Amino acid sequence: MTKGLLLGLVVAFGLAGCAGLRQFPESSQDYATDLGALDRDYDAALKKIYASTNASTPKAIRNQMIETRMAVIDAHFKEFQSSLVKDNVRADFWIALIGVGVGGAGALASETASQILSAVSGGLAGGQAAYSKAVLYDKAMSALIAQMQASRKAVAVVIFERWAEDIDQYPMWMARTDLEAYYFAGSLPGAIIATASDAQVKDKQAEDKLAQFRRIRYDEDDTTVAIRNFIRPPDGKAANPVDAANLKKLRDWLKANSTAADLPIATWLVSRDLRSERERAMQDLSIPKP
Amino acid sequence: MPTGVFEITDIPADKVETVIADFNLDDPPPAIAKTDQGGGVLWTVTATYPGPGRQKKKFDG
Repeated sequence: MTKGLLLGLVVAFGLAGCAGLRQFPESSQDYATDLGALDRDYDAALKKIYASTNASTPKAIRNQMIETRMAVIDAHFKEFQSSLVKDNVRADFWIALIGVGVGGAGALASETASQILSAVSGGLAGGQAAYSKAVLYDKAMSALIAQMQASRKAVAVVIFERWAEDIDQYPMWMARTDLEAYYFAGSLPGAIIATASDAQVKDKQAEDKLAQFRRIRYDEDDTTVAIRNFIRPPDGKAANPVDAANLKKLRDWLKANSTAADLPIATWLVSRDLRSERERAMQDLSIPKP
Repeated sequence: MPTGVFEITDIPADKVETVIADFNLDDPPPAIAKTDQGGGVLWTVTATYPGPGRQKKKFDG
């Protein structure tokens, strides 16, 4: 089971709360009547489309539905976004985070936003976090709002790309599904799930990048020698004591600059592909040439 | 922090201890094994993370 799916379940269970768990959605016995009751405008648009004889009318009806709904969703999102930055929702937000299992979300995704969320719920549970609750709230909410905006844009691009397609290529049900995705992208559960999914993708990309360095050939060059001398002065030999201050400088530099994070220092020092990084490190840390 | 197995191959014999010392710069250091690739000329050093420093101590009591 993927992390994203697991997180989705966590969120779903959290949102379900203490209500009895239903295993299936409602099943209809009268689809035509139910659609009229559930989504009157959509039902009316469908009827117009199937009654039309002009080839361009169905597309126009569909696009009108998209425009109308996006305008309304946008207006509601704007109002929702403003409400989230008001001080008086902080307490509700913390309770909501526990409700949707954000502690679990943080453990599932190693990404900044989810770490912040995890820290928020940790802070609530036992004051483990170093920050004040207000700071944590602001950080978590900023991360979630940024995620909502990014996700909404991504769905909007998909809808726009299909805007010119005929009704056969982009039918009403598909447009409606995209609109629902657009709405969900602008919600807190949507932002939490998207954060975890993004983290999963980034984790995979990081691992793919790391994979090329798992087994490398020894390829020492002048930068290797210089950096070894810097860490174990004066000549980098294994028996020399480590200069702790210089090692810390190098570790900090790697953390901030290396494209292959989480690489052993030994691998970084002798990989042919990372020579340019070592040159930059030498320049930034004023490491003399050997 | 590195995780999993990393290998450096084709290491000249006189550089093996230096490579091991380089691996030990990581905190915590990995578990390390060295293998002769044949004739004692070139070696492979294998580092497995997390090393003993990160493993739980056994309870003997």
